[in-house]
Amino acid sequence: MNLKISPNRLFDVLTKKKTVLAILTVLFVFPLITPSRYSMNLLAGVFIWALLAMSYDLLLGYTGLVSFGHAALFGIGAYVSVLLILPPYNIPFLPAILAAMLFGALLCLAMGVFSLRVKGIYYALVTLAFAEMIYAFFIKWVHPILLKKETLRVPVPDFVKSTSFFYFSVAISAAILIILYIAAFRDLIKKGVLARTKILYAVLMIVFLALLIYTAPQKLHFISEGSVKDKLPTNMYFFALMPLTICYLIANRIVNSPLGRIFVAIRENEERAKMLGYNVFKYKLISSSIAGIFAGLAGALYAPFLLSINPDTVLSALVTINVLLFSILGGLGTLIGPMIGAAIITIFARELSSYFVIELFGRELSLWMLALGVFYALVILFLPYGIVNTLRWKGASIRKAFKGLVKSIKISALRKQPATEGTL
Amino acid sequence: MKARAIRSPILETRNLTKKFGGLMAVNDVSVGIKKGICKGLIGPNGAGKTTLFNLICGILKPTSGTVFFKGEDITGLPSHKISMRGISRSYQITNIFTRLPVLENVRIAVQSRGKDNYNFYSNIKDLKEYNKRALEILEMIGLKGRAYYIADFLTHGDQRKLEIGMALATEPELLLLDEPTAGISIEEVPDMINVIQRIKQTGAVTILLVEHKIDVVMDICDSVLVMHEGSIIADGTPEEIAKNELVQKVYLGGA
Amino acid sequence: MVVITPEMIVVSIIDGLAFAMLLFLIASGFSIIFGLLGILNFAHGAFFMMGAYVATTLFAYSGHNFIAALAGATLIGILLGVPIEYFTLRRLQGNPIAQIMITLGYLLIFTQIVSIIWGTIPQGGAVMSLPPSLAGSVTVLDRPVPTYRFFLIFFGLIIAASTYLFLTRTKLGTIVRAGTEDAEMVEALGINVKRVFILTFGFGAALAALGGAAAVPWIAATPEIGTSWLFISLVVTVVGGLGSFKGSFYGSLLIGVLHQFAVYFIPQLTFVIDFATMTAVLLIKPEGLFGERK
Repeated sequence: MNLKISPNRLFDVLTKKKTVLAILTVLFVFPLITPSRYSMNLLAGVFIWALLAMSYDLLLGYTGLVSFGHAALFGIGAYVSVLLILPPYNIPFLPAILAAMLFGALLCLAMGVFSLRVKGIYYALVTLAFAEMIYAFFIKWVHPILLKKETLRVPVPDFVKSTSFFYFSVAISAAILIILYIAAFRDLIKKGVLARTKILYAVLMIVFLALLIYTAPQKLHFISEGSVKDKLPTNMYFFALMPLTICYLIANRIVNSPLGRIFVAIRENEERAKMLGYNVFKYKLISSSIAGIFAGLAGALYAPFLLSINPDTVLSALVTINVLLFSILGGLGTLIGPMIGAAIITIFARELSSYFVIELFGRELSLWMLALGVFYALVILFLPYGIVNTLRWKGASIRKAFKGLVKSIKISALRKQPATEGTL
Repeated sequence: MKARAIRSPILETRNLTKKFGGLMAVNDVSVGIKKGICKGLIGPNGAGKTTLFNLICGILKPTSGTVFFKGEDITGLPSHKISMRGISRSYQITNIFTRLPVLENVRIAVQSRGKDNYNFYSNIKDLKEYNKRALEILEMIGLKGRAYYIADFLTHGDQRKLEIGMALATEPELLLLDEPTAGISIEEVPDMINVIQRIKQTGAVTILLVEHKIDVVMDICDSVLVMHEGSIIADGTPEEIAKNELVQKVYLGGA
Repeated sequence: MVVITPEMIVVSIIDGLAFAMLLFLIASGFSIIFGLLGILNFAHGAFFMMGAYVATTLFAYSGHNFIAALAGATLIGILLGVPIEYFTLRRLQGNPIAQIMITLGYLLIFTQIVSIIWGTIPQGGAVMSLPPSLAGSVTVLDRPVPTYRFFLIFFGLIIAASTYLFLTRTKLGTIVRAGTEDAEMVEALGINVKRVFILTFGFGAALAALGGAAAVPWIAATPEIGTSWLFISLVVTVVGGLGSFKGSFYGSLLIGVLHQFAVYFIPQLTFVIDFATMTAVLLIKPEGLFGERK
C-alpha cells in the first residue's frame, strides 16, 4: 500500500465519489442552515439507526448471514457503555464506547460460533434464540434484581453539552465544504466538462454559499450564547453523524477490498468458496465481528441520545424487525440502501404516525402499526430487492418507460385525436 | 529418495469405502494415480464416481479407508484445506458464482492463493495482479471476450469451461474434472476437449477425468479406471480397457 | 419455589401433555410447511391467533355452540392460508428471505387487526365457556384436573393419528412426504407440486387455527398469543426437526411437558427452559431429533 499521498492525489481520492462528498457536505452543513431542534433530534436518531442498518447489511447483504438477533448486539452495546459510565466504574465516555464495540464483536462472534456450525436457516434460529434469551435475561433479572429499576437513566457525556464540541464540528463541516468547493471549482475550470454542467455547478455553489452566509451566523450565535438545552440537539446531531461517516467510509473500503469480495463469494455460493480453498467459517466470523463492532457502536451512541434505556427500546425483537425493514426497503448489499431505508421509515414514522389515529367503536385507535405492517408487506411484494437495487438494475428500463410515456403523451397531444381513432 | 518420490503416485486411496445406510457407494477402492498423467474414470451411472470425487475432496468423509496426496494423509480434512494443498475440482452440476461477472468468478479463485485474504483496505481494482492472472486463464479457456458478462448469461458449455477455469486458477497439482462435457451441445464438445488438451500440455497438472463420452476418454487419457457398483473393475491403458471383457459386459457393450 | 410432590408431578405431566397437543396443532403445520415449501412461516402464529379470536366470536353468536366455534376457526385458517400462499408467497419464489419477511409482516398485521377489531374485549382476553360435558374437573390423586385437559389430549392424539395415517397411507400424503425430502424431484415425476403446496399450506393453517380455538378455554385469546405461540412452535420444530412430522409430535411432547414443569416448579425461568432446550438440541444434534442433515 502506497502510504505516500501527495496533496493532488488526496483530492482525487476524496472527490472520486463526488456525490458522496456532496451529500456529506449537505449533512454536515445542514445544522448551520436550520435552527430547528426537532429536525436535529430527528436526524440524529436517523443516523444511529442508519449505522445499525449498515452493520446489518454487512452481515446479511454482503455475507448472506440471515441474523434474527441483531438487536442483541445493539442492546448490549448500549448497556455495556452505560453501565461502564455509571458508578461504580465511572469510566470516561470514549473508552466506554470502545468497550461497547468490543462487546458487540465478541457477542456476535459467540453467536456465530454456535450457529455457524450448521446450515443456513439454523443460524437465523439460533441468533433469534440468543437475542430473545438476552432480552428475557435483562427483563427478568438485570432490571428487577440487579438494577432495581425499570429503565436505566443515561447521563449525557460532558463534551456533547459543550460549545467547544460545536465549534469543533463546525470546523469539520467547514473543511468538508471547502474540499467540495475546491473539487467543484476544479471541475469548473476543466476543459472537458460540458457547459451546462458548469453552469449548474456554479449556480448551486453560489446559492448554497449565499444561504449559508445568511443563516449560519445566527445559528452560531444562537448556539454559543444558548443554554445546554439549545446546544444539545445540534451537538447530538454531530455526535451521531461523525461516527456514521467514519464507519461508512470504513465499510465502503472493506466491501471493495479482497476481504469484502470473499464475503460476497460466500454469500453467492458457499460450497464453491469452500472448494476454492476459503475457510468459510473463519470469514463468517470475521464478518460477524465487524458487524458486531458497528452495531455495538450504534448502541453506545443510542443510549445518550435516548437519555434512558430499557430492554424494550434496545433489546427487543422489534429492533431487529425494524432493522430488517430498513434494509429490505433500502436494498441489501448496497450499504447506502439500508441507510436510506432507515431514514425514510424513521422520518415518516415521526411525521405520519399522528395522522393514523381514527375513532372506532367510541375509542381512539392508532392504525399506525397496522399501516406499517401493510407497508412492510407491500415493500416486500413489490420491491423485494429494495429501492437502491431496483433503481440500479431496473433504472434503465424505468427511465425508458418514463421516456416512452412522455413521448406518447407528446404524440397524442400533437395529433389532438381522441383515443378511439387512430392506431397509436 | 528423490527417485522414489517421482515414482510414488501423487494421489493414492487405500481401501476407501463409503456407505450410505445400506448402500455401498464406494467399495474398498485402492488406486494410485501417477503424477502428470491424465487418468480417465468411467463407469455406468451410480457406479460411485462422483462419490469418489467427493471423498477425495473432503466433501464427504469415508466410512473407512484413507486418501493420500503427495504422500500425506488427507483423509477427513475439510474441503478448503484439501483445496489449499493442491486439489481442485470442477463439478458435475455447474457450480459457479452465477450472479457475478465471469472475470470475478476466476479472480476470486486466483485470490484464494494470494496473500491478500485479510486485506480489508485496498481496493481490488488496485491489486492488478489478480485481474491479470484471471484474464490469462480466461484466455486459455477461450472466455476472454466474455470476461465482463454475468456468468448466468453464458451458454451452458461456456459455464462448464468457466467451471474448469476456476479450478485451474487455484493452481492445483491434481485436477478432478467431473463430467466436463455433461449437457454441452455437440458443437461445443471439441472446444472443451481442446481446453482439456491445453491443460494437459502445460504438464503442470495431474488430471482425473470422469466422463461418459468414451471416445473423449480414449482420446485424451493416458490410462483409464473403470468403476462398477462402487468397485474398480479395471485399470489400464485405453486399448487394454477397450479389449477388457468384463468392462465390455458391464459398460461399453451392454447398454 | 414450589414444593415438589408426586401429585404435582402427575398433574403437571397431564397439563404438559395437554399443552403438548396444542403445540402439536400449531407446530406440525409449521414444520411441514418448512419441509415442503422451504418457508419459515411466521404467519403461523397469526393463524393460531385468528383461530382463537374467531372461535370466541362464533361461539358468542352461535348460541354457545362449541363445535361450531371450532369448525369455524378451522375454516378461517383455510380462508386465510390459501390466499396468502397463492397470492403472495408464490410471487416470491426464489427469494427465501423475502418469503420469511412477508410472513413476519402478516404476523404483525394480524396482531394489529386483532387488537383493533377485538380490542374492546375485557382485560383477560376473549373467552369461551365449555359445554357441560367438557367443563368441570376430574380428581387425580386428590387434586382437581380440568376435564378439558383430558379432552385436549384425546383430541390431539386423534388428530395426530389421522394426520399420520394420511401422510403414510394415502397417495397425497406420500407426495407430501416425498416433497419434504425433495420437492424438485416430485415435480419431475409430473406431479403438480404447486397444488400440493397450496393444500399443505392451507391444511397447516387450518390445524393452527383449530389449535388456537381449542386453546381458548385454557389460555384465553389475547393479541400477543400470536407471537408467543409462534416462538414456542419454533422451538418445538427445531427440537423435533424442521420438516419432520414425527419430530413435531415428539418435540411437542418434550417441550410441552418441560414447559409445564417449569410453569409449576420454576415459573420465573419458563422462558429460559424453552430456549435452553432449543439451544441444547442445536448444539448436540442441530438438525433436530428426527431431522435430517440436508
